[in-house]
Amino acid sequence: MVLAVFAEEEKWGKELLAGARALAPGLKGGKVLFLNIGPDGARKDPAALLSAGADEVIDVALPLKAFKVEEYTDAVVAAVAGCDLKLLLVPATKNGRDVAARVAQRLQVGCSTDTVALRASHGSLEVDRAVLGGSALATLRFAKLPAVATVPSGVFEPKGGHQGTAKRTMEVTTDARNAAIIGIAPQAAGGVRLEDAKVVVAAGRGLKKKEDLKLCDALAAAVGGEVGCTRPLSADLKWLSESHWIGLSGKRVRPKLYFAVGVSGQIQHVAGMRDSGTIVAINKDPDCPMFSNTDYGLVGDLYEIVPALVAAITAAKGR
Amino acid sequence: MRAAWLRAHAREGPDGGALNTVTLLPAAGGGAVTRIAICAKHVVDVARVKIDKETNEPILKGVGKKVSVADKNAMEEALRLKDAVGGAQLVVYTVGTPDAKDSLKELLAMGADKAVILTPSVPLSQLDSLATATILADAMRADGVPQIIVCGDASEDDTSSQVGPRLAEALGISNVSIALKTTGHTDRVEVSRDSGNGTITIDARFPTLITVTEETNKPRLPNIMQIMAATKKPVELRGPETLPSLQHPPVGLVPVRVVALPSDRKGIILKDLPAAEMAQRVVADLKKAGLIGGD
Ligand SMILES: Cc1cc2nc3c(=O)[nH]c(=O)nc-3n(C[C@H](O)[C@H](O)[C@H](O)COP(=O)(O)OP(=O)(O)OC[C@H]3O[C@@H](n4cnc5c(N)ncnc54)[C@H](O)[C@@H]3O)c2cc1C
Ligand SMILES: Cc1cc2nc3c(=O)[nH]c(=O)nc-3n(C[C@H](O)[C@H](O)[C@H](O)COP(=O)(O)OP(=O)(O)OC[C@H]3O[C@@H](n4cnc5c(N)ncnc54)[C@H](O)[C@@H]3O)c2cc1C
Repeated sequence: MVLAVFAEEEKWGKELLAGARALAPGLKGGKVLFLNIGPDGARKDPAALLSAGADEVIDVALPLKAFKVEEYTDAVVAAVAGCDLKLLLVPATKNGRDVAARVAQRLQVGCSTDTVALRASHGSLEVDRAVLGGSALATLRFAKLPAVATVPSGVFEPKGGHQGTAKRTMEVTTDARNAAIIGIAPQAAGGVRLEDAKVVVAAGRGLKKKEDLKLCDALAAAVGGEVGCTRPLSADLKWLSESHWIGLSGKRVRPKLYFAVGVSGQIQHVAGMRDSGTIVAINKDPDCPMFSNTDYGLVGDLYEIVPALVAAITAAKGR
Repeated sequence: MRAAWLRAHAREGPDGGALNTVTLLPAAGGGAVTRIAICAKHVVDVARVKIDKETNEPILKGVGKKVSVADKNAMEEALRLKDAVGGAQLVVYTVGTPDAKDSLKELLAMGADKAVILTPSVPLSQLDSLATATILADAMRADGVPQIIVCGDASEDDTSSQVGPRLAEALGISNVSIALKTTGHTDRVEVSRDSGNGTITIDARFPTLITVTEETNKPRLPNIMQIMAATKKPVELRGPETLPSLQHPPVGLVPVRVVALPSDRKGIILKDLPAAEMAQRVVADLKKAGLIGGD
């Protein structure tokens, strides 16, 4: 009986390994596998994964230059073939969701997307995930195992100290299904990793022009955070790159402190920042939805309040 | 019909190895592409869902329904690809109840030739994406696998982002998710996709499946003539008897309950005060909580 983790990102992989270990007893599972799949150079150091919770790391080299779902699906399925798989955990990233869906279809089993909680007992698995634009939480039960789940970063705490030892290399024949990678352009400069930021300052359409982002930059600098934004600023106005976009269709962030600057707080945005520690919102509209999801709501003109916050923070730090 | 099915499956060679060529079915008109499909979901209008104060459950009954937003982008992309490949029959498939017709009219007005509504023997709430994708795949196989299939990346209500890639898997074809841009050719399509940490361009021979988001394109607005003409376009209703998977959908995930997400925020609202005073109060609290200046 086996639980398996596939992740492109090492940090996320360690979180999911901790999750798999925690769930194993309830699923009557035994061994935890890490599927170390990817092109040469993109696979992870097995030692780190073995101490993070993997009993065995299976290495599958793929003759690709970047992620491509067909080959990755073949590799995941081949790596778990023949073992009594109970659960496959995959990061809820664009690539992760893609491969999880195809693997689940091949195995003819269910897959829960963006799973925020997993509860296993007596060999069955129940999960929670956000639905209806992020306004509601659905609980679902897997009709049978194996189960496949994609999980956002931060659901499980990575742990060290496990003494896994086994390493195996597997050759997998994959089928490209008549599709080939013909171009790779790395993320444009100016990308941020909001997922790792301790403080996020989210800019919304309350800003009148691109230059006014400086206000948010100043606030972020004062608190040692990163600037993010709502969808319109990235998708429509293109003031910031996509890596800044927070929400249902963007990134999920959970910083300790979150500032919403001129953000109305539509459910799709809130879906991406709901789990933040403390939320401070600045909006001139006292009835904006953001204020029903905030710890501190400052009603007024952001052009006055943000500089005042910067001044107050600078003063507080000086003291 | 049968030939297309065989073609989709022929690539699983006896040794499981990759076969590099796909022979396309020559179409009557000489072009390679004869069929394009999009998949569309008829969803509740999420913005109108209210919460039952007693049970804390979302009230879905009586809420208006509409086409899931990204499915209009799927339609737009399919229309563009149809032009690029030199024309084809464009069919919209939906797994739903006959009232989905209302949503499909909008897509027919945009330019689809025909819509197919696949209604299972069980309530829709019991289907998961395994069931939905399996039903769509079976229906497409029965009709002849389209050379191009376009889906939304995620539906507006349940957003599981699975139906597209699952359908491709069920048909044994390639898929490119979250397309930023597509360029159609007679036998293939070049798709650049957002991989989350860069842009990857994939050359996909037909048949292939593409998923799109609201950022992929801007859906056209049909004019009044097109809207009127759409009422005359065929909408085929197919019941459980038409497919075994409609009769007995394979289900992997069963919904247990849905509750409104609680907000356990402090909800301290400061207003009608000078900016500096509001700022100082908040910053004092944040400092106390060790969130700023604590380093
Ligand atoms: C399927 C789907 C997915 C989506 N995904 C996302 C997503 O991932 N992320 C996302 O962010 N959105 C998403 N959206 C869009 C979302 O519904 C909202 O449209 C968007 O979040 C609004 O952005 P905003 O708050 O910046 O702008 P607006 O809603 O225009 O709000 C601007 C706010 O600024 C305030 N304001 C204006 N001037 C001032 C001033 N001088 N001082 C103070 N306040 C001021 C206004 O009162 C207003 O509340 C999605 C929508 C759909 C349908
Ligand atoms: C509260 C709740 C939570 C759920 N969570 C999950 C879950 O985590 N995993 C899961 O597998 N199922 C889940 N389901 C079931 C899910 O609603 C249905 O399976 C649905 O048919 C497909 O999933 P989706 O709406 O998330 O589609 P997505 O995969 O997000 O939709 C992507 C695209 O697929 C196409 N598509 C989707 N549905 C249809 C359709 N009915 N007809 C035609 N084309 C369609 C459209 O092009 C759409 O844009 C859940 C259902 C409920 C009520």
